[in-house]
Amino acid sequence: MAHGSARSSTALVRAGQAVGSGWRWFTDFRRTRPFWGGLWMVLGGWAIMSLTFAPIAVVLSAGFGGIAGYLLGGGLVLFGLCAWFAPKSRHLAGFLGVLFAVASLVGSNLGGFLVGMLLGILGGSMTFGWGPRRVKPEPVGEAA
Amino acid sequence: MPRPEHSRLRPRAALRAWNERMRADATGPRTGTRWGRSTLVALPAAAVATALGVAMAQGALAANFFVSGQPFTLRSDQVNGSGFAAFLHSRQLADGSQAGKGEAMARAGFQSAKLDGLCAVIHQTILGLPYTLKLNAGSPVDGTPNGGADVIDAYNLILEAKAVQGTQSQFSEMVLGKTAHQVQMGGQPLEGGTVGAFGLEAGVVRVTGLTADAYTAEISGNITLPKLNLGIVPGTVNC
Repeated sequence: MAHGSARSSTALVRAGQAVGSGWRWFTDFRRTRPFWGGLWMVLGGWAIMSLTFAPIAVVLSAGFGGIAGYLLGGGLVLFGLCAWFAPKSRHLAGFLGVLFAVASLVGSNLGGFLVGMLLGILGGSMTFGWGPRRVKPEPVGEAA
Repeated sequence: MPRPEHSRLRPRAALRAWNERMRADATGPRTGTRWGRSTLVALPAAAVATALGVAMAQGALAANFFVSGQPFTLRSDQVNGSGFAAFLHSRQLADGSQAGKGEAMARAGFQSAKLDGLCAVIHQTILGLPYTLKLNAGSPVDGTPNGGADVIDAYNLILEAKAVQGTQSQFSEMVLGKTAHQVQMGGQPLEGGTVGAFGLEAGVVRVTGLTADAYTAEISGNITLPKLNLGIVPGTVNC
């Protein structure tokens, strides 16, 4: 009995270690890219796009109004992914994301009924502003 | 850091190299959102969005609508339409509540419609929390048509609704029983009809006290929204 509980506790510890190292990987992932800005852009783009899912014949017959959601919302999702996987081009991705978000106010259901546009502006500007923190002057005495 | 030569050829090695670079970079200088820089972009964007909103509320700029498969409620004191066409069809709902079987719905199109006041609510949830999007435009929706200058003009407006109620309605220049895939709203085809299903056309339509439980709104023309008021309300609110 004691043997079995010892085995299950080692399994628990292993699982905890796996979760811990996964979380540390995720922390490193977040630290090296504008993670939150990209996430808000992806969610905002999805909010804009998901309102417009319709059979393809209907989408095409509606003209620009039908595909605007896919263009603007899909673009916003792509810029969010770009912020994650190409963090070096974050300035362009963030700026264009904000531009697409504002355009969706006129172009697609008042910017996914405001929610998508607000998330897009927030995420885009966060992505644009992301970067290394300003180095604070070292406190005296710590250098030694 | 220069990329190793083999990274282009071996995806697994390239992925490992990417991961190692990422883990190494994470120990570098602390990063984060520098809000001062973010404001540099966010403020002009907010200003432009506000200006666009004001232009729409004054009727100077038209909005584009294409909502599909989302339940929402529309109310208007009076709708004066021309070039009306409608048919019944069944369609699958996006929320999957009727999985496998379609829901019978009326698909109705107006070539042009003048709405005396408009109130629309859409109920949605973000992360399980219900909220309501409420849109008001034109004269207040209070049960009596106000007329006047704040009439909402919509062109090529198509609605798909499960239930439509009106306190009073007039149809003229009607054609009943046309096959649904050929109905036209004032010369333009209304897409989506089944061959042989019942369709109708009307030259002039007037519906007073309209309430519609709709699932789709397509405006392939444009719509002016004078006195636009759009808000997000927590919880479930109605018009």
